[in-house]
Amino acid sequence: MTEPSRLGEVAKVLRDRNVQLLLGRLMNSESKKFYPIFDADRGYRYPEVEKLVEGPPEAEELLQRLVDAGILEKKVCGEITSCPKCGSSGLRRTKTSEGHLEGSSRLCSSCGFPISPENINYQEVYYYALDSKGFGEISDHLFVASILDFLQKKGFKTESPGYLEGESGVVHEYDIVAHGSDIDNGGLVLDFEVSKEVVGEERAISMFAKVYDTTPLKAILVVSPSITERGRKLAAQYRIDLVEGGDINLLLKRLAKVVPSADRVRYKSLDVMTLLSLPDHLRSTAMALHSAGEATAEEIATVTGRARAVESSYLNQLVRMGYIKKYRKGRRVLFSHVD
Amino acid sequence: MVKILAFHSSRGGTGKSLIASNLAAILAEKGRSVALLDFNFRAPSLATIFNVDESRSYWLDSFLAGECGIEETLVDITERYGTRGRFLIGLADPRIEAMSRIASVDRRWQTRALRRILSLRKELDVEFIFLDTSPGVEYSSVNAIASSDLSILVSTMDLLDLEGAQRIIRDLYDAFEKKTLILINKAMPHELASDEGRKRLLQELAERFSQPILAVIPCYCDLLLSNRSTLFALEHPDHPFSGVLREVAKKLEEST
Repeated sequence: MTEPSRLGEVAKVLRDRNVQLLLGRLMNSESKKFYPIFDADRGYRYPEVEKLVEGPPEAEELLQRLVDAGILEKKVCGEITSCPKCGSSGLRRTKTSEGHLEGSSRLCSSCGFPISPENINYQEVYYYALDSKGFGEISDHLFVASILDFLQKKGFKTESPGYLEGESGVVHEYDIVAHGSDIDNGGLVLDFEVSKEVVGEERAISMFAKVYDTTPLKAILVVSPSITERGRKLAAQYRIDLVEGGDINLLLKRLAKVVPSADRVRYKSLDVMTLLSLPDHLRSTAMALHSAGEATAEEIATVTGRARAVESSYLNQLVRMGYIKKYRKGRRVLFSHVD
Repeated sequence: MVKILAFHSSRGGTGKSLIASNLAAILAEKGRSVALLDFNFRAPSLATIFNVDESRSYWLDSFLAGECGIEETLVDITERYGTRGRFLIGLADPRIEAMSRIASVDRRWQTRALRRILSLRKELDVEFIFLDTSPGVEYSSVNAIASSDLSILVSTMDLLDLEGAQRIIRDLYDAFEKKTLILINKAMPHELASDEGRKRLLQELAERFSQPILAVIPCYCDLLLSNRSTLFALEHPDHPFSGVLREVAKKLEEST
């Protein structure tokens, strides 16, 4: 039987967003393991983990926390040699006066200290994998991993983290980017927040900044346990679907209501009957784009006779509604219909 | 610069195909280059009017489906009618399987079709494109109206036609901000027999429509009895029907 106090400790660890994202990535990776890579200065590092934290020491610290909580186990996967003086792993062989390489003598490439088989340091390096026993206990608390699994079952191809380039040229990171069968036919983005307390509205605001720039077809903010009332209002205003819940079962149940199957997350047809259903101001913008095929807001403005800023706003509305797409070509921001 | 005119009606049987084909012929005879396209895919009629056989490779259906360019679907009938201007026709496939196929296409197909119709302006080297549409609100007719510069709404004086026309103007033409002209066909001759009767009829139309009345054409029995596979206005240039249409053609030239 698991001690209640240890389970409480594990639950606390799992209320950390980085832990959830990390475990989501681990479970979605092919090897289901975090392997180190060689680094001349530090000896080794875990680049996948560093994407979530500040740097290599913090990455190792996070991994160790999960080992201590019994979620991950670490196993030796090799050893590296390093300088006994400065700890650097960059070693170079010495040369004779004739320029030939000498036997087994080495110099530290960082501090120049002479290194021999007698004084060289050996250090074990580890890979990290899910602790099979610990995983059984926590599987109900793995939010991101469960959401990825849910999306894949709906037919999406998922990336976690996923990246989308915005109108500004900035590449934005989402916790999950999901595509249907055709990657050009729009996508769904999902951000995730887990906390011990009610999540602040800043989370909705920061997601909106990314969504505004990248205009995905569907944006979902998953929050556990809940978000402030202002956060709810902002998400609704920003057309971000909000999913709140204290546990993963509730989250998945609510997520099922806002996530359609992958083949339905696609651009909508802008046929004449749809045009008729649009408000007048959007209809003339859409018709002008239909005639042009591909155009900037300025080019559409010359057709409709309205100001460029007005057309830009209308075109962006049509993008958010899923009728047209937006992309960059060099410095130009173009809009076009979708086949 | 090419002008696209859609000939439309709220219900069938108003005579819009007859009017569109004869007007196209009159303009071609005057030296204008005209393409008359059959946009009534559910009940095509131009293949019969112009007596074109059904063993063609491409129809307008093929063009809308992206299977060929517009030029490949057109039949040049300039020589056949001896018109001074180039006279082209584009036909909808009159075979039942083609009508059935186009009735079952999805919204994406219709979206692509709309863009292809809009491309006619650049692809067709003529002065006038006439789109003879299906009556009422169907994809082909709404596509034609959305793509046109001017819509000619053909109606009889039947109350059902008139009220249908009003609804179409309000719900369809206004939505696409289309310039519209009303053409009344098959008016009762006795109503036009006197100045007073004519004035009363025009007054009634002015109360019903805020759009200009292009013409009021009386119902001619000899027209109804004529062979539909001929162009009446070319064969009977002195007939009053042909005279009215020549006036209409003149107005269209002036207004465009």
